Amino acid sequence: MSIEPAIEIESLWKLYRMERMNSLPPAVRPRTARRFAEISDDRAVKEGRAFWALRDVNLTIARGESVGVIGRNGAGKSTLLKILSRVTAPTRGRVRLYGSLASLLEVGTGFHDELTGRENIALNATILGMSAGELARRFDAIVEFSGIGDFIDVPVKHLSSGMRVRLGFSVAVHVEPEILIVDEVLAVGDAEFQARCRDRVAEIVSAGERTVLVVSHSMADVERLCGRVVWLDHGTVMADGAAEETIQRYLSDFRDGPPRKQSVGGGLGSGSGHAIADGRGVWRLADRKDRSGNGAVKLTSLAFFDKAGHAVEMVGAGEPLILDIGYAATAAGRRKASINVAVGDERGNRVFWMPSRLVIGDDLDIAETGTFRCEVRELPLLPGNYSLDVWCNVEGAVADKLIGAAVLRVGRSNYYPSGKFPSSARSSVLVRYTWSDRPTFDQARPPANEAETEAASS
Amino acid sequence: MRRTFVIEIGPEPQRFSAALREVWNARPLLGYFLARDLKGRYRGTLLGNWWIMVRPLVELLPYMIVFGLFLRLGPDHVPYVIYLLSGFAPWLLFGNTLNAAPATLTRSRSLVSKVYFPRLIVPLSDLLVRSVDFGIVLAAVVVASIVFGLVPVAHIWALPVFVVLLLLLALGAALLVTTICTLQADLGHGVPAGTRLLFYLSPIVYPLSIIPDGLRPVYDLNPLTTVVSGIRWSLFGIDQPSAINVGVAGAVALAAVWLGLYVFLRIDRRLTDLL
Repeated sequence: MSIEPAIEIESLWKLYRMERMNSLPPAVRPRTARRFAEISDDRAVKEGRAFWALRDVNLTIARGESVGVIGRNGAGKSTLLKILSRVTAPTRGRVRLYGSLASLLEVGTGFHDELTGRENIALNATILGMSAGELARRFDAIVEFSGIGDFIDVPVKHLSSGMRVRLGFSVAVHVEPEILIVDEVLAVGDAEFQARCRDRVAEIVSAGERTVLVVSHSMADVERLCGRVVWLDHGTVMADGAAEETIQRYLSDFRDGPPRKQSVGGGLGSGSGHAIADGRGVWRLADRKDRSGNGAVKLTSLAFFDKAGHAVEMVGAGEPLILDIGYAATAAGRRKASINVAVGDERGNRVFWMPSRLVIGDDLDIAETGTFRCEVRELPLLPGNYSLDVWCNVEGAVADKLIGAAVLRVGRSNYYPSGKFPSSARSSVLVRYTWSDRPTFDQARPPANEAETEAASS
Repeated sequence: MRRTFVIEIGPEPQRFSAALREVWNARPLLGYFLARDLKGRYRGTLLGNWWIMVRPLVELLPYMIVFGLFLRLGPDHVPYVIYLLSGFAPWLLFGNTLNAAPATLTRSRSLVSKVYFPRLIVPLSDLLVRSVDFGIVLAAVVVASIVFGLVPVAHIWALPVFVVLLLLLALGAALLVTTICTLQADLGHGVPAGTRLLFYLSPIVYPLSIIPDGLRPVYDLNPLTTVVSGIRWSLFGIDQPSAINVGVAGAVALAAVWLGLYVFLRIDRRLTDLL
């Protein structure tokens, strides 16, 4: 049986220049000059003025296949998708798409605030390539799926963000292209709607008529939806094969701590896109380029300490953790700030989030440089590796945000008297509990006071 | 075997004809963009779409006061308000399109950087929105001149010619400005100064008669002069442009459209990386 391809990617390269154009872009130059353009591309990379977001990617995806694309932030996943969806052009190489393609990337794209849901559905569907006839046929199904009901004739600026997302997703899943790209959209909306979206995508996948590309940080989603997984790192394909196997390889690479630096070019967004520790539990953030925010405050370092105040790289499960975040502020940023730390597991699921706003009513004061400290009395994490996202808000706007700012390694401890822990497949968090065969309310009182914590961990 | 169609994606730009065909196929999108902008622009305001008419009048007030009232520049047999409005209508199209051109792509960045559609739709839809403004104001000029007792049919057959000329000029200029200013952001800041210069170098707020005769041959080379006086000639029978100047303006318009399309279509996909 010959395999009918849906996507053929041949030796795909994509260069991003960090400077603005100071010469004519290659496409304007005459054809004969393209060879010189390639030489100048390589020189730009060597001089640090540009970086390769994709380097010689080759893939063939068969019709009806469902393929997951995984990788760290800055690995080139979104660049690949942007080229496939023709939002940006490759620098070298070629892609052939057999059939129409639509992406579920950032739903609600192109919604106009002043227009009603009805008008926006029409606009959005047309942008995504639906013909007027198809739209008329599917309109009711789209409204039904979104569940926004009577709000369909209200300008979307009056809709809640959840409703907008639902409307956008609803349009996108009804476009029914031959190739569907699902980019990190399974994490939007409320839990009930997320479940519906997952089911819908799973339905499309299992029907096997459409080719589906899933990009997600959630290994659980990728594993569930895709038979084959491609792992991208620094713009190259690290592994391509059966889902479980590739995910295992990716996770074990993740576990092995700080990743390698990019060998060629050492570019932005990829090479420097990862957490770097100096070996004593201090994570340098100042040089990271993969940050977002308006820059009023810059997060410069992140360090872990144990309860004795020693810098540590690893902390025992259930033990206290002190987390220091160093920062530098511009004059404009020297106001009040709130700080956020979110902790995610290896599979990309967020375990918990610690916004300063939940514990202190007023925001924190910012000096020229300084440190924010977060104290966790009892770290509720099972042994394993966790990824920290850190961001700082100044006056409601994100000033600096780093995804994957540091890796927190949690080791074994005597948190439970047995010294054992549940497997991470069966439990996600650490809970302090007791069991008794003679229940009285006196005994069953929650034992989360300091004395008992001390006793249990020593 | 069901083989629908193949999309080839490579580093080279699309073929000119293929790109134009794609725009043609995407024309429903143009309609939606137009509807979006027209409906969205004045929604929620008290006057709504009456602003299309009210705004130019408000904008013209300073010229009416300075040039009409103080300097008494109006021509003899056409009321200054109508004279002004007939010149301002094409300017609404040309000047506003040009002023908006550097930022058209940037403004729709949220769309352009996420979904694919022929990029040419963006500047085209902007031009369309302003054409609607132009059409409405022009219609108002015709109505007003009837009210003022002018018979606005002097050479009305020529009106479409000058309107087409105007549209081509605006399209070509807008495409060139959009492309160049996206590549080199500095130039965007010079555009308002440039359009203002063009505004005063065209007979919009003053009659042609104030231009010294010696300067006329050069002054008339401005294709916008030809368009503005051509429209007035069609409506009121004054300011007739010479055949040579119409020819020059036509040649400039065609060259601008061709060059604009060529440059824009050659690099439109790379522009996304610069937004």
